[in-house]
Amino acid sequence: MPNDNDLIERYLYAITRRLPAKQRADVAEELRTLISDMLDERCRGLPPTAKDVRVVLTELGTPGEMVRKYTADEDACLIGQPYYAQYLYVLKIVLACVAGGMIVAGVLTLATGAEGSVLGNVLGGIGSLVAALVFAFAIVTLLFAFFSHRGVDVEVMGSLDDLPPVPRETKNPARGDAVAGIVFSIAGAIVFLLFPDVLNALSHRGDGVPFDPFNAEAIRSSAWVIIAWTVVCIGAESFKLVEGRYTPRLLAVTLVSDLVVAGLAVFWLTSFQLVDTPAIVQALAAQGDALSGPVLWAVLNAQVAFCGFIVLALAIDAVDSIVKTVKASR
Amino acid sequence: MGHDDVVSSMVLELRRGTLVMLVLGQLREPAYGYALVKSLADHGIPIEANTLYPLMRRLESQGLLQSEWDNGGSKPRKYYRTTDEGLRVLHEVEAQWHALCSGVNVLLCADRREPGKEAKDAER
Repeated sequence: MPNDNDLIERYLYAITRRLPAKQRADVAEELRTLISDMLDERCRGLPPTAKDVRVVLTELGTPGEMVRKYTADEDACLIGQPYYAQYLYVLKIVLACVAGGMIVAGVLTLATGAEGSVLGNVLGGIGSLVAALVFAFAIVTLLFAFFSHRGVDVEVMGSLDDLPPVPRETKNPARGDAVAGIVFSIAGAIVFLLFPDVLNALSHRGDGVPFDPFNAEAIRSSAWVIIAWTVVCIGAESFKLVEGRYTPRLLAVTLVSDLVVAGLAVFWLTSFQLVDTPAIVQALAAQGDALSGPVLWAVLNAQVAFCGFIVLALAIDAVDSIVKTVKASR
Repeated sequence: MGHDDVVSSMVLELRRGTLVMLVLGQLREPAYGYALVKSLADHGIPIEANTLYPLMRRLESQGLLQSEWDNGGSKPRKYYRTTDEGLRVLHEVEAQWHALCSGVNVLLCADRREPGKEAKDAER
């Protein structure tokens, strides 16, 4: 009966197309013989009817059930336990920060009288908000999928000697730091990505003439550096959250992320003209405060100064992590 | 979950634990999947084909079974047999199984001989 064979073949195809390619032919051949055996037993020498075929295939299980059984031992989930709980936690913080920052930025843009219609700005803002949330979701998900699949051990408790001491504080020391780190890095990214226009719009010279202290175009064209920076920070802080306490491994991740961020910061601040220093000097001069000496130098080299400030902050973070790791290991 | 569901899920768990041992034991002699389903069912151990077939494939990938297609008969059949490594594993697991069975049996019999204990447990 070609019709019944067709049903069997469709059944086998539905199963095997969702199995690894190298298993397909073998599994199909084996199941074909199994179905034939089951039909022989049911029909006892009589040719099987369409109903017999249906009964046998139903008894064997739905294609979905068969696929689940054939792939049961594979690591079939993107983010498994114990990472999933931490993933949800980080995701909530990151999405809340992104949404909060974007909404504040949007309201400020509207309040400072951005160009274009209010409706257009609101719709544009909602579009950017959705895009930013999707991007943040994707980054956090990819990070935790990586942790989960690389099998980064969450619990380093192979032996009794490895058991962590009971922390004196009731709360987890690394956890608060990690949450603060995530919030700060997202807030920083939002300030740099969305606020130049707002800050520009708010800036007026002493004589009332508006001027743009920030080169919004340069900041926009270097957005990838800010995003890479934020992703590295969120990655390192998420690892801190997963690890739960200061360990040598966490210290290594922190130091590497500090180095990468320092590299990005130096590259960003030396390769792009982000601050329009002549405009600032002119603005201050127009106000009657002509700059001279070290102050003039500092304003003219604002980016270098900011770069130094960031590298110093990262160095402090690195030292802080080393101290906390040494303390935790005692 | 009703009484019957609890019982059947516990029986399923017990059976699942012994299945690998039974498969390795039965396949000392080569057999194809459906023949093994029938022989286990004949001994009061009903195992669904959709559980056994993937299990045999998994055991093969672990090196505990090996397989060979026989295309000589009316239908092509894949015969499985336990490898030497599979036999060594079986030997050790079997020893554990006997120890477990005797321990469990002693404990269950002891429980049955102390009816007062059961009443005390019920009171708790």
